[in-house]
Amino acid sequence: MDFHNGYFVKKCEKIESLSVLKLQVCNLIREEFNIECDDDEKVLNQFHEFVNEVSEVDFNEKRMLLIKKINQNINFKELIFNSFKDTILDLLGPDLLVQKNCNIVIQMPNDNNPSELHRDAPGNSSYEVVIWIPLVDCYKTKSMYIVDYKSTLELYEDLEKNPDWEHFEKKSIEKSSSVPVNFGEALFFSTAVLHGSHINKEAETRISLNIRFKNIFSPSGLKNQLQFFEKFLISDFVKIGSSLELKKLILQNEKI
Amino acid sequence: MKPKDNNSFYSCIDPYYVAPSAEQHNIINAMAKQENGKIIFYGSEDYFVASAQPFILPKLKRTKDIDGVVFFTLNQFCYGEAFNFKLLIDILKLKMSVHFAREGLSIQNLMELKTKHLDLLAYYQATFKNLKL
Repeated sequence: MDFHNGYFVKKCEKIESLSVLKLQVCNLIREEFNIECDDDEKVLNQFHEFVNEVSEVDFNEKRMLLIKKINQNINFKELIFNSFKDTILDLLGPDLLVQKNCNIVIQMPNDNNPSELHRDAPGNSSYEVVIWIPLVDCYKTKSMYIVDYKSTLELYEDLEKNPDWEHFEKKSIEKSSSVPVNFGEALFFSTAVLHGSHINKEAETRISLNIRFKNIFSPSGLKNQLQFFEKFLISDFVKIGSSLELKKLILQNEKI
Repeated sequence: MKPKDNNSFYSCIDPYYVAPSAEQHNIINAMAKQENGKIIFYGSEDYFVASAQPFILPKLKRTKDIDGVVFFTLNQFCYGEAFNFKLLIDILKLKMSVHFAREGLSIQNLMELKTKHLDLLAYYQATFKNLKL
């Protein structure tokens, strides 16, 4: 699996799971924003047209409630894992943690608050993989931009020599690529690469989810592993090791 | 087991942690409340023995009516050469629950430790062990 750029786009292995996720998110959007439209594609892609009367404050409140409902009502961890199981296992192995909460990002056309240039490490572990899952087809400025790993390193080396953030940002964006990702695909990327999004200049809204997986034993980032992640999948091999170790520890305590 | 309404907890802050003790106490108190109780006793803040926390067990053994211990963070079990399972098991054997406020993690008894052992071990491995390489 060629991950030398620090990212790749993978096709979903089980589209049924991803379609269920899309439908469930779409229904919660309908419910939260009172949208009466049966066409899922229209609800998602033309979302901005349904909410253009909603004030910014109300919109933000509803968005926060939507995130809460998605996390409470949708089995997103299983659905995402089942959609990209082989890729996740190939990258991280069979003993996995998953981010406790899923993020949803809504980027409406001309929204002047896109995700600024950043990289997730070292706040997040550089051993985590980020999975960015658009629920609509994303292209040009409707998608994300990403800087490959080699260029990210060079850019940070330059930033150390010349600590001028605006220059760094300009150079980073020059080196970045907008990655087209359709529904049915996901962008996998390392927390070690720079990424962000431009102001969405297309005529459609981008609605996407993002979530992180990590091997249970790999080094953590600055965020507390137990606060941010939960156990998702543990191999029988590790279960046996853990069970034997604990038995030994309890016995040792009895002897002391 | 039905939780009691008024559990009494012993609290242990982390002298190594950058958060001031007042903030640590606030988070510990919130955890105690969540566990249907309040903090009744306070542990030592001795910086020089914080890695092993040797003062806890004797205090728990000689003090009656403590239902559990609330630590500020799981890190307090990770400052030694290995995860301090010995202290954790000793406290659980006294039939007291153990709580970690920052992580929102509770271990009620030895049986529950069986399901959470790996979380603790992996936390130590991922957060502390790798730093020592």
